[in-house]
Amino acid sequence: MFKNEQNLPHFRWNMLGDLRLGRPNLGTTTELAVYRLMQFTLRDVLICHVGVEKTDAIFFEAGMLSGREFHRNLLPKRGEFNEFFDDLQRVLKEMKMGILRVESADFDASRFVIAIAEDLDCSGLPVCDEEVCTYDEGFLTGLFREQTGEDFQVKEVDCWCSGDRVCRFEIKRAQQSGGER
Amino acid sequence: MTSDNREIIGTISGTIAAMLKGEHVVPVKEPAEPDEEVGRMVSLVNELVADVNDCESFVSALARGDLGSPPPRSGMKVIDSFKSLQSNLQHLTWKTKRVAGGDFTQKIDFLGDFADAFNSMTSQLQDSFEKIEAQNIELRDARLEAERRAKEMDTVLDSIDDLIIIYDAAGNLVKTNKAFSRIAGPEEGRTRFMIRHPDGRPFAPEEQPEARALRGETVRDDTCRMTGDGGRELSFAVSSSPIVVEERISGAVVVYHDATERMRMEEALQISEQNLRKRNDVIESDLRVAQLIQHHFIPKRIVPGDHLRIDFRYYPLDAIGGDYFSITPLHEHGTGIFIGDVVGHGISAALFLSLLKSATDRVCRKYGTRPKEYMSALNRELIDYMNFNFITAVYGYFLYDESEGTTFTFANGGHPLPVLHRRAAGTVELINADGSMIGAIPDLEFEERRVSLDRGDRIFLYTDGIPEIRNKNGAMIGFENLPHLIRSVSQPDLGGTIDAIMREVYDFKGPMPIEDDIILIGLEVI
Repeated sequence: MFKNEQNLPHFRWNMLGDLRLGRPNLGTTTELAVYRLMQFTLRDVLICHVGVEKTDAIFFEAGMLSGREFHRNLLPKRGEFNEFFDDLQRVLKEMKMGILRVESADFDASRFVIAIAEDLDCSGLPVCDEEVCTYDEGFLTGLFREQTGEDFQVKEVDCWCSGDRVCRFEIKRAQQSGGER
Repeated sequence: MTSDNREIIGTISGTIAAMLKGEHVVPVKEPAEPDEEVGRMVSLVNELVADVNDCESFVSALARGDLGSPPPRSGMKVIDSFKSLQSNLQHLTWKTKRVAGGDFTQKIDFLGDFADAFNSMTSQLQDSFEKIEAQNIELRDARLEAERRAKEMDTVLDSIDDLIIIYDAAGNLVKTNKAFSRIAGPEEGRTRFMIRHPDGRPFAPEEQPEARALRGETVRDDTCRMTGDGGRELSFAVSSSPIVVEERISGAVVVYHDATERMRMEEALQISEQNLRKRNDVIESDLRVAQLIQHHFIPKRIVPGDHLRIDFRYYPLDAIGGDYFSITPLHEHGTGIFIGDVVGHGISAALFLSLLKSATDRVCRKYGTRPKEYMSALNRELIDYMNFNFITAVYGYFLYDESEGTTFTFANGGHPLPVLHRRAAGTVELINADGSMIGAIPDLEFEERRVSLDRGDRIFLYTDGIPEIRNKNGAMIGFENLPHLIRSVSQPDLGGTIDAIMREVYDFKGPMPIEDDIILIGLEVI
């Protein structure tokens, strides 16, 4: 499954395996530290091999693929943005991935600002100048593309920590930014 | 310490004191040639001043409700809390907009007391909304049901030919049916819808059927007139009733039934009835005259003979009957007797009796001693005039001869059979001679029969009014029972016997009316 050379990603949701069947005793959840241990060590090694910029690109693309499959398999297909946000907020909370809060939504301009607290990737990390939510940016981009069929630009614009860490993302339709990423 | 340094330290102390007092502060001016440490301190103080000022501006904007202000870039920890506050407030604002848009399912997580209050509010809104929705559905269903019933009512009202008007409690017209426009013209033209009494007087306002109904009266079939569409004069039977809702009169319904045609027909019928009554008076007058004439035909008394005693009872109906008899002395020892019954009553029977009398008188003169020829001749005389009438009749001839005694020779044309009562022997029998009704068949021939009579023997002739008389059970005396009845009431006196027979007949019928003329003739050989 993962041993064939390929130029395009082939990941599908069923490649996760049957988690309930496979872990009848330990269950489908694990410690968050284990998740981060895998991601951060992978990122660390990738930087060593391909550099920071390439590593960020890989993480972004992986996040986008993840967002697409996440939407296809866990979110009901509903057309309205309000319903989409309600579903996303519910599922992120149910899967303990983060607390989504929509700060503003301009449906006509397709421009949204959301904040995610207790994020899976970065909560608990000290606030610094480095952007560490590249995977989240890709994840949100994949979600919005799957939701709308259009390209969106997602950018982490702020983060802070007042006990819990909160990341703020600005999401807007890609055409509005003149073809930026 | 140099005086310059002392001065800059004083300025910094003043700036910090102002900050602690909440006063607006400006950056500290750097000395021209500061020491490295002093320059470093001034720089940090000015950075603090800038962060405090930025923080103050940001928080002030938040306090004013300006949630869109960009947060300061400061790394002060307090800024993070304000950022969270700003983010949460923006999120709450967005959620509130969703609620304002009608989505009461919105909930907020992990915002402490505020989340609890918000979620409680949306839950209550959701409950209220669902109740209102349920009420709206009930109201909508009720409205649809009301509309359906209103349409049903309109359909029913429009299918009725009567003019129906519904008024509100103030007497304003609120509803009419199609008959209104058809009869009274367009609704807007109801100024012409003024009803009048049959004598032409307009109804006073308080007499109007709706006004009476609104006072609680129920009006039934009052009559009125009005000028309808196109100037037609119409007559109506008007009824009105109050509409009572929860024991209060909320309106009135008035129904005008177009009685124009009925009244026109009643008037025509009245005229026709008057004409008929006049004609009936004439006919009754004629009938009375005819009755007098008929009675004149019937013998009033009998001339007694030497060998034959005759008595009779005649009970005609009030109207003219069809029964007739005559007794004709033919010579010193011979008497002819005729009894007949014309089928029918009234003028035609009376006129026909006139013809019958003249015919029997004429025939009797020629064939009085020969009953068979008498009956055939009478049939020939009358048949041309009897398209619709028939006669049953018996003609008999009594003859006394010294050598043979008394004989009774007779012919019968379909008439009830004579009864022969031989008193000495105590026998009673019906005596027959074949023959059909007169007037039915041309060239009719009759059987003739002769019976010898002894002194005291009696012959009874009668019309069918006696044997066919009915009692209250519908039973008749019957032809076959008549001989027994006659024998049972026989008395030595012929007149007494006839009266006794009639008493039996009347006792039999009881309270039932006599439906036909009655003639009973008794003849006794003396």
